[in-house]
Amino acid sequence: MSLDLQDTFEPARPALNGWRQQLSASLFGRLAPKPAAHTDDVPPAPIERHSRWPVTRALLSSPGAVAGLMILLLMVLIALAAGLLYPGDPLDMAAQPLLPPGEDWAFPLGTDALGRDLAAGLAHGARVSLLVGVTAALVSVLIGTLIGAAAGYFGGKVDRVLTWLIELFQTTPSFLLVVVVVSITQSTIGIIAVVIGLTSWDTVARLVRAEFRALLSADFVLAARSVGYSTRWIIFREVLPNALPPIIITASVIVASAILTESSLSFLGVGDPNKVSWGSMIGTGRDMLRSALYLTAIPGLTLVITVFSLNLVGDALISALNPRLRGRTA
Amino acid sequence: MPASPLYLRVFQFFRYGGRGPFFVRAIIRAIPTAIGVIVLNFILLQMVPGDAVDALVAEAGSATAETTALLRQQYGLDKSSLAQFGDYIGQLSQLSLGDSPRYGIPVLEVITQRLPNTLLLMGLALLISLVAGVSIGVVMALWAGKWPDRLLSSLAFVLYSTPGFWIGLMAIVLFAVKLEWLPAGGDGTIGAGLSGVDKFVDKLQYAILPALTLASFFVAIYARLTRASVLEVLTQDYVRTARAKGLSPWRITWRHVLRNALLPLTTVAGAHLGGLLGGAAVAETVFGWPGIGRLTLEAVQAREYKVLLGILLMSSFIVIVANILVDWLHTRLDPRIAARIRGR
Amino acid sequence: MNAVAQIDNATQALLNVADLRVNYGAYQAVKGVSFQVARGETLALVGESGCGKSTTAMAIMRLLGGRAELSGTVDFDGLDLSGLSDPLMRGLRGNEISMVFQDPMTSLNPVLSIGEQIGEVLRRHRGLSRKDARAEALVLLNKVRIPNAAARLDDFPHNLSGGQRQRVMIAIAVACKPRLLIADEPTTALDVTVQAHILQLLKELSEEYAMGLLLITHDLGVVGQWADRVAVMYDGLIVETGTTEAIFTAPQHPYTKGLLGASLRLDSGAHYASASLPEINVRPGADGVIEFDLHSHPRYLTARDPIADPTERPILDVRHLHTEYKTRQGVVTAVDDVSFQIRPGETLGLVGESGCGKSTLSKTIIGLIRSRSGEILLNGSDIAQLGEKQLRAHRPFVQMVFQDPYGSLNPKHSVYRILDGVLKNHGVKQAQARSQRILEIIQRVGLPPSAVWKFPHEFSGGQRQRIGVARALILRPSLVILDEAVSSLDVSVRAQILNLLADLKEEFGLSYLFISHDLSVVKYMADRVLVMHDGKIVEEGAHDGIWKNARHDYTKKLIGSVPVPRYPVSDDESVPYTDSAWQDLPVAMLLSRFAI
Repeated sequence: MSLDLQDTFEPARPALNGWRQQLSASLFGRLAPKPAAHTDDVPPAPIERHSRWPVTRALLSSPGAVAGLMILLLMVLIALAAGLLYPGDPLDMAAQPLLPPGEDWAFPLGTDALGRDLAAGLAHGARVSLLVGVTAALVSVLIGTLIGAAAGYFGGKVDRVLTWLIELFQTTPSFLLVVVVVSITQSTIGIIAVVIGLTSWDTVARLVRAEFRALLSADFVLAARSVGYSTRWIIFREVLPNALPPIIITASVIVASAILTESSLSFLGVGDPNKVSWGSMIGTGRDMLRSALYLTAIPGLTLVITVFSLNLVGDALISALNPRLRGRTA
Repeated sequence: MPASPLYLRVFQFFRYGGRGPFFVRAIIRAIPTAIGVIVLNFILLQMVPGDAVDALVAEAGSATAETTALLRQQYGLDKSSLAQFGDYIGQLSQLSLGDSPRYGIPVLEVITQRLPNTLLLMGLALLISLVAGVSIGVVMALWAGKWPDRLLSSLAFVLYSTPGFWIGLMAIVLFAVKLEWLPAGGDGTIGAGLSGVDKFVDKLQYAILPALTLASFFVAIYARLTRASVLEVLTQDYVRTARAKGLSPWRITWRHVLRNALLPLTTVAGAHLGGLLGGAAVAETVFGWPGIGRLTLEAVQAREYKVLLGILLMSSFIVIVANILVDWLHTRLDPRIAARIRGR
Repeated sequence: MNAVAQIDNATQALLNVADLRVNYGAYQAVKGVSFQVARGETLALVGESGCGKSTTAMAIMRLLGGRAELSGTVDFDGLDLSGLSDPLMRGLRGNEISMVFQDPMTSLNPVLSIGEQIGEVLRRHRGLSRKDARAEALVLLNKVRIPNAAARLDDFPHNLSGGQRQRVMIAIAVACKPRLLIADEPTTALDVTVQAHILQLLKELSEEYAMGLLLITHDLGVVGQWADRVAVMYDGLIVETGTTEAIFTAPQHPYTKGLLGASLRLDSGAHYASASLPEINVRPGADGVIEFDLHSHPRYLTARDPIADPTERPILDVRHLHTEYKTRQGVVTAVDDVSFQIRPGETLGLVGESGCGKSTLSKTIIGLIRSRSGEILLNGSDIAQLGEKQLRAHRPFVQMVFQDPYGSLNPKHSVYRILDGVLKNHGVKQAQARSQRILEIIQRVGLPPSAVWKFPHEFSGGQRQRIGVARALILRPSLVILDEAVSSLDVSVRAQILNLLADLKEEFGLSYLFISHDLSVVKYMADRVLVMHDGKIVEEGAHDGIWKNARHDYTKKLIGSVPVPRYPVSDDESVPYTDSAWQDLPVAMLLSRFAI
């Protein structure tokens, strides 16, 4: 590890890119070291009993989080069961076209202009959305963490180069980049997921870099070094567990953001032509906006509800993970 | 004391931009990123399946192998990657993005034809989202915990969980179909023969719905951000000092709280430029607004890779320029930034 | 000037607080506090953190948030503040009653200029125009002795140092010539040399404007030097009130006695080798009344022979050490040609103000920073230029205790894990052996065995420092570097930790490098002292000689700035020796305790 003191100064840079990424950064407090001031105008936090799984408890105590988790669980179940509930290709014609919802109980949500079952489309679309969301989040977290950690840890030249890389991806408009890359390569779900991940990692990297820089100069890391721990130990045992909470929160935000991006892509017709996605359903239903509103309204609502629950969970994570596990009570 | 090695000095130069007036320094600092953007675009260009010659051949129907090879040589497409990169740089320095076979005019021209429309849309959306977002956020913060806050927070929550295109569609249903207040698409009344100010006003009418659609997401973001920022500033020591001075609540909110709470917003707004561009692509498609967003989709469908990459390049540069402007604004608003950059 | 109003003659008092209570829901921050401040008088409200003194001050100004419930009366020159309407109260704040806060770095609005912030209060209460307010602000800046005042008017807070910002705060506070000035720990965040000037300024202004000054502090030295009367607070209640002279020479309440005894003064002869500091034991007694117990004991450690034995190899031998670091402006020399030795069993004190390089020096010695040149001989081998891997073998010999009890322990690790990791890392393979050593050291630092399963956030500041000490000692080092280890602690907790450190040193045969900015603490704890300034060692001396016969100008300046109470320490500190066996010891040994 570099034994030199690092630069004492860094010019102000715009913080983050992308939608709710920015939000989460502002909403969870930074690791700015606050001096242990004599603040006796605030009642002291009661000494908490050491409880296992404090995060899970905090999550489960928030009604919004519980509701969100339930809905998400439902979505996951539907996605998993899509093959059983609606075997066959949802793009196949199933019944007469433009069957309004509620008329025929075999097709409770109706059919579209080509006679395709809306319910089947929703179920299979859930698969697509969740797959893309989770994969994109995994990709961006992995890449972002690696790059951010390397930049924060090594400092100096390595940091400079990696920061340049981060800024490059931050400057390029991510949605346009996704569209361009997807159209250059192939338009399949897998590639879409990976590409979305490749355009979102800069947020994670920025975050991880900042966390690492702050943590590496924290007293307990200095203490660990003075005890003689190896560098690998310090990264994995001392630094990473403290850097994890914001990464987790950002990951949840990226899942939501990826789902929205994928739906925009398929709405615009750039998505996977062989798969049904909520976005593509809305796209095809768009022509019948006036006559058959349900074609766009129903998949749209499903999309909103899913992303909404993801955001609920994300918000709950922010409050659960932040002050408690930082241990900076009092 | 020995001078630092050359590479270090080069690093420092591009990191801090040397000395001189703000904009010169800012441009110098932006150069590495600009280079990166160009390299990225070139890499993507190389990844494009087939090349211009293949496209030509496809249009012509077919050609023999010799003709294809000859054409390649003519267009310089048989050179090594590095040489091609050199060609690319040369082309860029002449401010050319290549020619579009489909439109028959240079790519740059295709883009600049549509660019003002998108900029208008983005500008409007930014304005709406900032004004609405900040006001709502301030209300939320001042009534934090009480019902106005809870209500507005929930609304904001729903707003940024909703994809822009869906909001656009629902807006069309509501405002254009049901209420018939605003037009459903296009950028001007066709065949009305308006010009000058009248044309602009007419255009605005068509711009409202797409701008609102584009802004919707960001209104929610700025509202939540402002709320969080104001609440944080309210806990700061200097607000306590202001209270200890006996100032009126109104003055404290205005001069002390807001002036500091809105600072992070400038940073954030700059970072959102990219998102605005992406969102514009969607909004333009939904409303048939002829800007570069819609151009992107057309180019995708027509496999016009040069146009696509030209758009990517241009928009990246727009983001760079916008960030410089935002940085400048930030130094004007926050005296600490200027000092930090100057190194004092 | 030193008007001492009779305590029961309440009508003359400028401020009369009667039975003030502040509750946050079920939590009682202030439990019924009464005191008076007369015109032109300085009342010090003394207590440790959490006692409610700041809350009391904020309650007087009605600056507490909505969740606080106040009761009791606050009478300001005949006006009852507790029942006053908001607009009227706002008219008083900054005008008749002003406040100066603790942290000057964050108390000023960063985006407004100095002139604007001072002018603001003038325009609000005096109705001055912008131009007049600016002129008046200039006058005020000169009055608080800010150099180059005219240029400062348009500067922003970040252009000023901490001491200067505090002067600006004072200027704002006295701008409208208030009748009462409340100063909440005004100098705690400042260096000791700056501290003296600020307090001097406050005193002069209060005399010039005939203000009543309510000075809130935890530092008894400040109290003793500047206050007329004192009120001692503990856990939301005032336990004793009186004139400064009375409190210092004849304290009544055991808590006051304990505080006085534990407060280290530059003019007392206390030294760790002769006696421990009194520790205050607090117990809830019958019917909820708190009982205080003091105990301390003498020590009989032979003072180190100041003349070094040439055949004895020093534990640490630093020769011509030179450390630098890079900033944008260039290279800064933090440690400039520093040489010194620490002999086995010795405590070497290192004093200096912030920025003098003492922290960099300690980090260089322990291998966290690489020096540019020089040698660091630890037990004879030079570790200055060793790489990380080679350094590992030397690590068990020198360990460090850090300043910040909140930041020096990984919040995610239990105490057991923290200590266990250290042992595992240095080759103690069997879990049982490790477990034994952990429990041993935990109890030795005064914590119960059950503490090992808890996480850092479950402990108080003093307890966390004990854990830090345990971590430093578990490898059985020869040298322990204490880098401002007690600077963040309250006086009474500090006494406990200092006692612990002295006991452990004796028991384990340790040597200490004791670094602090607080001269009184170093005077108590060190055998020999080094004074550091601007990266260099400017003076070196034995622990008592250096204070009496300082040679270097900077040392003299440092010593001169430390607030010393006007009243002598009473010989009878009324701290009963709880163990009567001590009374049988030879008189000579007892007398040695008072040797100065």
